[in-house]
Amino acid sequence: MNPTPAPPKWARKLLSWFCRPDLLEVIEGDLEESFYDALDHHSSRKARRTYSLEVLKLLRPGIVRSFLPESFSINTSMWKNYTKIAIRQVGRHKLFTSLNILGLASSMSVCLLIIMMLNDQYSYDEFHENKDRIYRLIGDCQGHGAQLSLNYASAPIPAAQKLEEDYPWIEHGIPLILTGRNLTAGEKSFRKEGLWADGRMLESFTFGWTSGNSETALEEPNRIVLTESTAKTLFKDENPLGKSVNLDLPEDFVVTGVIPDPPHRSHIQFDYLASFSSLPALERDDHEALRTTNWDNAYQGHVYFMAKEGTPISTIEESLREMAAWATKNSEFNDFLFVPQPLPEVSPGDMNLGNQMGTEFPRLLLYILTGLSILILILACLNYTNLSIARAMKRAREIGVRKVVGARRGQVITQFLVESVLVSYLSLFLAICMLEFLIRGFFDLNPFIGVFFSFDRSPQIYLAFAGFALFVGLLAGLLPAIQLSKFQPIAVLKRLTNLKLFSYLGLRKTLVVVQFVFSLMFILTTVILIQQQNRLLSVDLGLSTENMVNVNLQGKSYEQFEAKLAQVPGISAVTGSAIIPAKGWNIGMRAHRPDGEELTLDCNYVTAGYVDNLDLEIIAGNVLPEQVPADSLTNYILINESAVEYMGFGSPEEALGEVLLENPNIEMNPDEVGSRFIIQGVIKNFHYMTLMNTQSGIRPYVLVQDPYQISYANVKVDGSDLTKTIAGMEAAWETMEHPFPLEYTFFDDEVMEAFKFFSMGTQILGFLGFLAIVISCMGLLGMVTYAVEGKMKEVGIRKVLGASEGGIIWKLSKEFMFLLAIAIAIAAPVTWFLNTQWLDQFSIRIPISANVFVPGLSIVLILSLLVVVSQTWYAARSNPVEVLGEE
Amino acid sequence: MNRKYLGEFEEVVLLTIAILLEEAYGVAIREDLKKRLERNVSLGALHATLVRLEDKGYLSSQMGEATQKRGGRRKRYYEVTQAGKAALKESRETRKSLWDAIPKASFEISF
Repeated sequence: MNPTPAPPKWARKLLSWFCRPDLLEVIEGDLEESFYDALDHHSSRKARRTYSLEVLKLLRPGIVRSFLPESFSINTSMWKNYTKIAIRQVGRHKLFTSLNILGLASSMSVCLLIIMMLNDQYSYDEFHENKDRIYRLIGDCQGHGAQLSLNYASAPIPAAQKLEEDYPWIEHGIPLILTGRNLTAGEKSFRKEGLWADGRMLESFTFGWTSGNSETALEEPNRIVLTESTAKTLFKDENPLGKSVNLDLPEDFVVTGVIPDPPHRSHIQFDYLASFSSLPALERDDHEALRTTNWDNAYQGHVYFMAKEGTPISTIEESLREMAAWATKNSEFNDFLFVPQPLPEVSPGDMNLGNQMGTEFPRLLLYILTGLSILILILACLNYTNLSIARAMKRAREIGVRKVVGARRGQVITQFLVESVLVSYLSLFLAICMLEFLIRGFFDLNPFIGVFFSFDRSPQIYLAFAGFALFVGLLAGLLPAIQLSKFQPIAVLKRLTNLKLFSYLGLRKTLVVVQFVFSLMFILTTVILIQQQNRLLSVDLGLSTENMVNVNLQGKSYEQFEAKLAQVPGISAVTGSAIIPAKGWNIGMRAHRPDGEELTLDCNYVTAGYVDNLDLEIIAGNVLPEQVPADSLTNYILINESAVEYMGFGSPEEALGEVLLENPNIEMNPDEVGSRFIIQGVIKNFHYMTLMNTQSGIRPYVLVQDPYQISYANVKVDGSDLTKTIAGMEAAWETMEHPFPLEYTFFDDEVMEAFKFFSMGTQILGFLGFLAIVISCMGLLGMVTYAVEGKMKEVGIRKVLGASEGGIIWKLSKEFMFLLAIAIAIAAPVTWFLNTQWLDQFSIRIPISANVFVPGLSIVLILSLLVVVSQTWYAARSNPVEVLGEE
Repeated sequence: MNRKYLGEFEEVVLLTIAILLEEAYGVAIREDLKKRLERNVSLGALHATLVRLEDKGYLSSQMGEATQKRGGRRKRYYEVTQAGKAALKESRETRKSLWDAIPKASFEISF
């Protein structure tokens, strides 16, 4: 039996767990006093039981403490305090804050752009009501035995019907075939893109409807539905219903409906819908390729389908597998693979799917852009982290006091997070302003971009921005908050000046080095791009592209056009060719030596005078003769130097007069037919392909004189009055009675097209590089400022002891120059390695050496030197008396 | 109970504290209630009320001395504030006016 009975321990423990801390002492005391009082009258067992009961009865709202984390249980006054302090901090340290805000805002604006892009791209096809049950049929169709994988977004058209017939879970099978045609109403003709479709498409998708009867509009053959803008283009303000439109097909189509223009965010785009039922007749008469019943044509149409509500995907996949097996069995040539692609997954698209319907932006590019912008954001956040930690010394006392007064670590962390989030939101405002300029610049990059993207500014977007800013604030502020909250009050309050920041210094220096490594990489790569582009531009293509207008004959006769052009002023020469060189197009030719040896060559079909027109250089023999040989099977050809070598001639002269044969057997057998090619001359090698394809040097090439294969007129203008000349050409074209307007391009513009990739890349990378270097310099500036501030006393003493200003500048700057050297040492080889990968694709490429590193590194070095010296110079100039005098 | 209306128990506790003058702390209040009103009150109910009354501003408190019996823990002494006194007075007035308003005939009770 216990000599001194005591209250039950478990009850006490329970009490101290749930009781409010401020009440605990008193209540425990009361309980114990009552216990001992009770012992006077009752047994200890009863007293203990009473105690326990009392404890249990203390489980009441006013007494039980809050179990939520401290930051929530504390009422709003703490948040008010944090906000107040945060705002004061921001106001007091203007330099620090503005550096941070600028850096964060610049990088945030890039991220905001990406967010808008992602939002745009991922919300394609959202407007369809049935989007959860609509699928696209994708898969593959290859010869028997081939390896099948997801290769095509297109599918055999008969599949739509079969799906409807064989599978009960199908609601609609929807075939769609792209068709681009000339629509003619009255005298005007317009080229428009449309779809062969029927009512099933209108019912399943949610494209809306304007006028006409949507249920029957596309039922009968030879009916057409126009979009509102197409209707306007063709019929102005008249009611189009009932009118006829000619589609270059035997029968006119009657307009039975008008539909609103498909929204931008729809991968299915069209100017008109023509009734699907017209196809069988057209296929019969060869106006359209056989698709509606041909399983083997899996390339020219698309099949969508809508499943009934609640159909599980497994059923669909199973059925499609079944259908593929059936198709494979019944096909003479091909194996099939069918897979359902849910509508939401169609765009952004998979680059590997061939025959895509329309504007599907490749997902890969989105990922790359997102990655780059995250990189920039990280750089800016690193800045914030760095600068905050640098400020740690100054805040140390505040933190110490807070802790002594009772702040828990979590509260200190929260306080600093409030600060960083505040800075983040301030940056957001600035970023949104910058965004406007950024968007304008983005669309200016390339006209194509407007096709892919349209940005809207919905509340949803701004909500996303706000959430993003919160995330950034938390991310950037987390590290400094954790570090700062570690400060021990005692150490801090006793003013131990050599606070252990060494580990932090290591961290901060690493951060700066990382920032500069990335900036260097961006800038160096930009320099490489610019130089490579210049190098390529300066290559002598070997042909003249100046003052040359290439006209697409669009099927009309070259001779006719040439004759008409004789009347037009300002034209110095006209020749014809099958393709335009230096654009990346190519025609392959197979011929034989008389002894039967087979040759493979690249070629172009041209008219006489081509050599002179394009300023090619003849090194042996003659140019193509004016008169074509009467025998249409004989053609004069010119070959290039590589061809001479390829064919085994010792010199160009040896090749003259040699004959090549299309069909090697005609020499033997007079019944066989084939063309004969007589080598009339040899031309100097020139770049008939784009510079990017000439990795292995210039290949053997032939210019064949063949007036029947001409598709383009090469018109050399003398530049005297260009507008008049063009007008004259257009007039001449009009008389050719072609429904379409004159199509022409300037040769040198076309060649520049190939460099489009370069200029876009340069602009984007250059911009990012600029951003990165600015952010890094700001980070450096902040760090140098604080380091220097901390060293002021040391500087003062040194000056008193006789150190020179230059010496001081050097001593202070040394440290940072060393960091920069490390960054260069890392960035240079990495940049060299990465860029060599793609530069090796070019046969003509710049070496990555001093020519690249000198300008790139100088930019970075100069900027950072400026930053560092500006601060150290100021320190070196300071008056030691002032510095040492303050306490 | 909100605002200016005193609950029955609150009123009783306030009055007891007023009675106890300098000695009004948890156990003492409880003892007095048991002795005077023969009312058993749990420490839980009591302390909850004391805290609430203090929050309302009707009580003020200060820490007192620790004793052996309490295991070295201090007591908290309560005192009725002016606001508390005013609330008590008002409550009394309210009761009185109600009693006065009862017509002779319904309650044959003499005051």
